[in-house]
Amino acid sequence: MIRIALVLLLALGTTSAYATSAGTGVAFVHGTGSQTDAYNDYWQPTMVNTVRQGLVNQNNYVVINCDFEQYMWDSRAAGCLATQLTSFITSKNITDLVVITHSNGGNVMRWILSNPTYDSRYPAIISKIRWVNALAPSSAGTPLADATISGNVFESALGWLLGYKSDAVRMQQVSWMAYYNQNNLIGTGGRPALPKGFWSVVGTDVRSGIFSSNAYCGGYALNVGLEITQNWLASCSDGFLECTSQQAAGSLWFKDTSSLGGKVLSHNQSRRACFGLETILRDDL
Amino acid sequence: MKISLNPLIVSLLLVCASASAAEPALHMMSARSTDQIPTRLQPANLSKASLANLDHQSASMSWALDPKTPLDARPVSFQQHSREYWVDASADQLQQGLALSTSAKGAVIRLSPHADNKSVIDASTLSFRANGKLYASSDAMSTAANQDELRAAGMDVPSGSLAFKLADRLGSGRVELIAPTASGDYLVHVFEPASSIVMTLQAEHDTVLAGDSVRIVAGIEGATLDRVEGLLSSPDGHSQNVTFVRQRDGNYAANVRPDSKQAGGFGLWEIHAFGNASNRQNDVPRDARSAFAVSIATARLSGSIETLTGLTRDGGMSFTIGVQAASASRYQLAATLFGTNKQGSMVPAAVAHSAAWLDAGETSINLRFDAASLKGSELAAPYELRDLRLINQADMSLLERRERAASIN
Repeated sequence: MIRIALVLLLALGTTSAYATSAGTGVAFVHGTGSQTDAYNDYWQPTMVNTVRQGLVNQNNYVVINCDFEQYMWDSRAAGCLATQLTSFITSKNITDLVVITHSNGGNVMRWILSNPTYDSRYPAIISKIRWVNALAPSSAGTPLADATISGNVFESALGWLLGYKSDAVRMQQVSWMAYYNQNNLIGTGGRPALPKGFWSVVGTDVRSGIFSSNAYCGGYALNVGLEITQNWLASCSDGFLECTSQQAAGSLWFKDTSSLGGKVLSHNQSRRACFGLETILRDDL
Repeated sequence: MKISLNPLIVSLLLVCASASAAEPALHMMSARSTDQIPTRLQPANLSKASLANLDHQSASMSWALDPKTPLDARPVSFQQHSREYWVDASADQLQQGLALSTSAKGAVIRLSPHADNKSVIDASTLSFRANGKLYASSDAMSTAANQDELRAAGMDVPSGSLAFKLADRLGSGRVELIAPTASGDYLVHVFEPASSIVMTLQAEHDTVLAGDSVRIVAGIEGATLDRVEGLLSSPDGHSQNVTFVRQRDGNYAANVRPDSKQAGGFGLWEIHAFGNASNRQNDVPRDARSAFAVSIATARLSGSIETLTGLTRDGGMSFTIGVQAASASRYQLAATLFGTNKQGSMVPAAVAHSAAWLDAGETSINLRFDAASLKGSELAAPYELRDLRLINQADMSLLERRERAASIN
């Protein structure tokens, strides 16, 4: 609601504390995985370069590259994110930061927002954040993480089951995220609000038919797998996350169908320049 | 009307106001049965503690809450719902036909080779026997995805994994999965999204202190549970058997005491329940898994709490809360301040976090609600400090939690 009010104020030509300025910057925070070139490999140039067009100074952007195979609080995850955000804020003199996260990147960012005293650098980072635009955040985990981890623990391969998967996958099991949302994270229903806005963009479906133009944005092959994984999920899902998980924390910004001309965003498409998502994010700056 | 005051007088007034507002030590409100209160301190498990990366610099932060948004009084324990089960299968079983129980159309089946099995099964080589008929894969599957496609979708399955959904024409009941090219051992995961037979699993509390026990309840919807077996696994893989006992209401319950030697460190413990459910039409396995935390009480609240109420130098509110620490670590306090609105109801005003490195012994942490976090709340006394939590940041374990900690008039 606040966000809508701000948009209306801007539309009326009034000044807003959130009008982009020379000190405005944008950070792209990837999801699960260890990235070394998220600009090319995770987001792809069209997404990043379109979004940063909304900046007064288009050089005020950073694409985060961290190891999000770890637990969200790990020094290689949230610690790395804090290091790169602090460096970006300092070197570019950022006073107004919009953070764009995808998938599990939303959890790592939410860890920082939820635990401002875990690291003495966190409060300074939080103070610069205008809001977080969380693209398909896995805020309540996903049954697919449960299915990935699960096995027959009666057999001697218990070590295999526990050792094979990354801590990030283990962490995103539904029961684990339920625990963390009750105890180590805030911003979900019944819990205190986050210190800064956390606005989710929700993908509601997957289209993978050969004759569906919707299926090809972001890579057709990626959507084939989503079509089968969607079977593990509720009817409203992006193929990896149920809509309820994507909406579990913060506030709903929009669902794909309501803002993308009826198009739906699969989980892989919500990090790519698909169906005008990139221009919505650009205009949000 | 503008009022001009001599700055010195203002300073004196503020000092006097602060001094006059200083009250004797408050008292912690009586603990509730749902609070988590350590009865004794426990030494840290140094083999699992991760102190090396902890920040030694104190940090604090507070921010305002929307008084119209209600908060839960206490953590809500998660209840797992399961429409699935897993079975191990050998190559011989799969080649001859592995019998799987289903209770609804459209089961999703995943084949995953065991860790030492490098074989890959092509979905097109599978066949199925159901309702007395043999079905080719093209007729029996509505969709399928291989290892690469599943991984591209974010499902990090083991090498050689294959997942497919059964076509509705196979119906439900006994389905034989025939894989002529199977080699080695596999894990078979059967998930029935359309089934009405749902196993539930829930821990009574989502956090248990090392040495204490926690009650686990397994239930079923749409059928009767014939049996439930269980296992508890620690974050690093240690496991202990769990005995579930049938209750009068048909649920199965277990009182589990996690092995204290395995406590400490990051990650959650998992309770695994393996049941068999039956009703007039179906007889299907159901497995469920849920998570909870085991905390080592390396510190606890001492019971002392002091505050400066009313006008402080900047209009904030500050509490000095006593902590008894058995082990040095970085400890965090977090709490929500409630205030009274014009209708006389207690509503959330602000949340504050504070963390500091504490050595072992009697010490304290200052929990401060900045003026900015309280400004504009339009709330008045009495205030209450609620949902007070003491956390060891070495593993983010919840050591103590009090639903209602102190009342400030």
